[in-house]
Amino acid sequence: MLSQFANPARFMSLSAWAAPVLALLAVALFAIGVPWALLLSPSDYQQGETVRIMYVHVPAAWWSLAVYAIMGAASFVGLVWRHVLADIAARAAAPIGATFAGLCLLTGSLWGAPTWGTWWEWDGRLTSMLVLFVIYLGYIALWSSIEDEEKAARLAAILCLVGLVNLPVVKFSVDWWSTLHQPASVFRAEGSAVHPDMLGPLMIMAGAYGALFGALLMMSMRAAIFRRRVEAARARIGAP
Amino acid sequence: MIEGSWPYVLASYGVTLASLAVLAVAQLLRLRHWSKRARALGKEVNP
Repeated sequence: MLSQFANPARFMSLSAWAAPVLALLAVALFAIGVPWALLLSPSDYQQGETVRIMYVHVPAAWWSLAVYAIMGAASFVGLVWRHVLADIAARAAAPIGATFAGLCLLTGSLWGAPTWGTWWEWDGRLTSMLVLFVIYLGYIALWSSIEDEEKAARLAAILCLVGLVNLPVVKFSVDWWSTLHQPASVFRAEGSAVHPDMLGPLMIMAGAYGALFGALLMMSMRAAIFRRRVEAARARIGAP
Repeated sequence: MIEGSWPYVLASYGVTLASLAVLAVAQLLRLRHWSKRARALGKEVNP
């Protein structure tokens, strides 16, 4: 079944309508989620209005981890089955994941300043998130620095798979070490500790980030496939 | 309760929405560029 969807021609026809649909869905979810998070959701009894940063910070953190896991899966498929669409997907996902990781660090800093009294702390969660951001940048740099795309794909896939080690470190850093960062409050064995009035907008914003990721991933993959077609056609006609 | 934190909240939303918008526009422009060139070259190869 996967090989059917992994056909570039099939992907192009599927993504031609799926990308705009996901983009529209992302816009709609942001249009609902942002006013809900900023104006309608309650403030926190201790954190006051700063708790509203959660609605942009937490989805950025979740999706930066999820995008890297998707890149890991695509890298594995690309490395083992040498499927070109998997390499394209992994490469296309990296700048989106890097943006999410960068936003997680920036909004975390903006949340930390008024609540912790510091913009940055070298604790387990913050440092492992910074490592994830640097791995993203390294992955993008590696792809760009090697001209031979097959070689670049192989090396980048190996880097990506090695970098997967960091994902459980990010997730469990708050349990393994004493950190300023709070422990998990949504995805935990005892169930969510977040009040439903806050969980609603949080999930809408997480959905918005997810839909945006899907749309941008498909757009970027389509651009990469068009670029490869142009380069192949140029090579055939001997154009520079 | 922490007071006077709206500037931090608004800065977070501003930087997030601006960054995501820039990323989306960049991807859209890149897609338009390569799809146009692919179509143009396709016509050149198969007139």
